[in-house]
Amino acid sequence: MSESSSGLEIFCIGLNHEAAPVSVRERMAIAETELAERCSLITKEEGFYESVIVSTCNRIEIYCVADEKMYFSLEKCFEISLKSKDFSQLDHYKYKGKEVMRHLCRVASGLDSMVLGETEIFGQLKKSYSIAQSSENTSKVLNKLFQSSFMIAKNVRTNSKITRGATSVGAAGVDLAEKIFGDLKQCNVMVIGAGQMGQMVAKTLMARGVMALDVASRSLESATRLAEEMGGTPYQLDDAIGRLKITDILITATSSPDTLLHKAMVDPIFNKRRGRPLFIVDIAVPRDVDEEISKIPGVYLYDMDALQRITSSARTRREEQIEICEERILQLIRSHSFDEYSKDTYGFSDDGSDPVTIA
Amino acid sequence: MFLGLVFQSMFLAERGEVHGRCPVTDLVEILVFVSWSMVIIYLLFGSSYRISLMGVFTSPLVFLICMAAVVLPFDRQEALAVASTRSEVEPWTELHIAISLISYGAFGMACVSGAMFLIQERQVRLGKLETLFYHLPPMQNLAKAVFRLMLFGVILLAFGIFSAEKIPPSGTQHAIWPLYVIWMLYAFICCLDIFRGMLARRLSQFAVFAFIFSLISLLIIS
Repeated sequence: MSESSSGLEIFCIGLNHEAAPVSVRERMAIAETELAERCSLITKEEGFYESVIVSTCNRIEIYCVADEKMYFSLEKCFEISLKSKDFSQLDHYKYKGKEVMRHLCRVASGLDSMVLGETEIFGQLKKSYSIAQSSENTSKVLNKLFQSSFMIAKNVRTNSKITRGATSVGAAGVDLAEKIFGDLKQCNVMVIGAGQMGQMVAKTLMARGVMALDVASRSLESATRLAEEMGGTPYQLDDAIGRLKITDILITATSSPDTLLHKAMVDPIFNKRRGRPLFIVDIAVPRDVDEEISKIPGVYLYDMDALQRITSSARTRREEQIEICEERILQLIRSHSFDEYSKDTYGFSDDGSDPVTIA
Repeated sequence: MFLGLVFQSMFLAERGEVHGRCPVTDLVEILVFVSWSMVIIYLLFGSSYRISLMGVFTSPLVFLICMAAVVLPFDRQEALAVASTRSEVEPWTELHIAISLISYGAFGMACVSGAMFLIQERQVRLGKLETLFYHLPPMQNLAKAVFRLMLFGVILLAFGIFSAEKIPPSGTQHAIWPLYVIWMLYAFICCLDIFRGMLARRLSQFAVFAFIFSLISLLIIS
């Protein structure tokens, strides 16, 4: 790959969850196994020298080093890699020079994610970069861009509270469980009911490696069906109550109009637990668990309202961190000399705003 | 914390040199010895059970005790004169005092762990997850630390009391019945937890209040 030492620029072009709906994004998505090949299609084109493609459920972006004049035909590299002719008609964005670095740092820090501060994107970016690098589609410029951005993003995440707190009900439930029990691998979980949210929380807990999962329902048939889906043991509801003696985490998500668990039912069982705590997540509306149960020492009861207060509070705290993170990113970018190949004629204004080009 | 331990060790070494024996001849030295024990136990337990944040809670307590030691007066000449009139060092006495006070250090760390548990538990119970919530270790880890530290203290204090019973009649005597009371209190709670199981909240509350009671008992003993 030969590079001209003059007239080279760094570009980014893409679309994300804000610019395009999921129906468009899923059409554009590229499987991980095809990323290397698609990058190579771009770098083989006249005027393009390096490329990295990032394809996740919420964004598809191409970072490339190309001749400066290619900025006005950047859509071409999307059409080449996606084998699609209609990209130009879609809402997308494109950046050049330092804008690219700022954008990449924001993405890697989770500031551009659907769930603010999420950490999964960092791993996805690293994977995409690694694939492009291994297939020799990157060189000095994109290597420096991505490696610097990862360092900056790590710095921002570590020195801010942007990742702190759970922003979904499922994550909040799991976080609380870990705070109470520590090692979830020693915990027994019981799910009562077929509610989707309850299943989601249970699956998240299973993914964290809980010891056992009991699934209870009014009918044994539906309990069996759910247990097979989630990898647990089925019980009829009446039998399941007795299992509370060894259950550590109870998730209730039934569609019952009445309360299922009363204090009088739980008290005698709780006395046999030898002081072990019981964490109850009642996601049902109307609630399945009598709130009097929360008065039993050692029982921690969270209903939907309580979990949503936690997630709402976490979102607010993360949003308060945006400005701090943006400032930090700008400071760190300024401290990195990144003009070697960039003909960046825009730069950053003093208030940190950048002339982003949205097509 | 490690640097603090060095300075505490220097203080105790200097006092030991003056007295010619284990430096626990007055309340100040006893308190410094207990705080020194707490720091050693923290350095051993904190990293083992990944509750290094315990240092944040231990440090203020240790600091207060050591500040008291710094500001209270100490007459070196008088101490040397008193030391010269004392009888020979009695090994059982030294062993009894040292081990007993180290057990108090363990009870002190159980108190610290218990306080951390109670703070964390309150936040979880009320659903008010503030900044400290994200830094404190999981509640079960803290509860285990409380029990293990109390049990460690019980075992040490048992040896301390055994050593006291071995002190010959000619040796230095002091009231040891408070030690029996403290030992029975902690031993009873440990047995209750082992054979019946106790709510971690109750265990932590006990660890906090029992240590305050133990500190008061030091006044009687000293």
